[in-house]
Amino acid sequence: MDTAFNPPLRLKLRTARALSLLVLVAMPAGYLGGAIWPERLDWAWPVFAMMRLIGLFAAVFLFVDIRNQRANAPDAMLDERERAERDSAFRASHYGIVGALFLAFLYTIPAQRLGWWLPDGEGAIDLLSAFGIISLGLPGIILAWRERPDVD
Amino acid sequence: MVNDNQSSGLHNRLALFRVERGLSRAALAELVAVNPQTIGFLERGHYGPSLELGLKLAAVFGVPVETLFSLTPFAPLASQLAPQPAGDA
Repeated sequence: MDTAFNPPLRLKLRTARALSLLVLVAMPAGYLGGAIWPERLDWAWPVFAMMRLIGLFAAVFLFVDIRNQRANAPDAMLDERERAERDSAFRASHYGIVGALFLAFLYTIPAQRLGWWLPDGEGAIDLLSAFGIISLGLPGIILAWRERPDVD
Repeated sequence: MVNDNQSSGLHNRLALFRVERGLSRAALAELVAVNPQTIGFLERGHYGPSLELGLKLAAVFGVPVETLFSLTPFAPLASQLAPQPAGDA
C-alpha cells in the first residue's frame, strides 16, 4: 500500500455529511423545480437557482475531499479494508443510479399517455446535468455516511 | 473472510497484544502495510481481515494466528489469571 495519500481537502466527517445532504437535496430540488416551473413562477426562479448553486458548490467541495479521492484512488494506494469499502460504495452507487434511471423510465410510460409533466429539451439537459453530478459524487457520499469515527 | 465494513464474526486479541508490545496503531499499521484506521476497525471487530493480513499480524507478534483470532469469543483475561480453587486442580 502506498501510504503517500495526500488529498487536497480533509473535511470533518460532520461537514462532509452536511455537504452531501446539500448535494442530494438542494441540487435535485433546484434542477427539478427549475425544469417543472421554468418561467411560470417568477418568485421561485431565484430560489431554484440558489439551490442549484448551493448544491454545485457543495459537490465541488466533496469532489476534492478525501472520501471522493479515496473512492477514485488506484488499488495500490488503498489497503484491503479501504478497497472493500470503495467497491461496496460503487456497488451501492450503481444500484442507486440504475434504480433512479429505471424509475424515471417507468414514469415516462404513463406520463406520455396521460399528459403528465415531462421535461422539455432544456429541462431534460438540466436534469441530466444534476443526475450526472450527483452520480459522480455518490461513491464518496456513501463512503462519508458509512465512515465511523476512529476512537481509541 | 473480508467483511465490507460490517461487524465481523471474528474475535481477536489484537488490542491486547498491541498494547503489551507498546505499539501504537500507526506503528502496527506500518508493520503490516495498512491504514492505521484499519487497525482500529480490526480491534473493534468492525472488520474481518483477509487471511494474508491475519497471518501478517500474527507474524508481527510471533504467535499462531489462532492465538490472535478466533471464531468464538476469547475467555476474559481476568478469569484466566485468577487462581483456580484447589479442588479444580
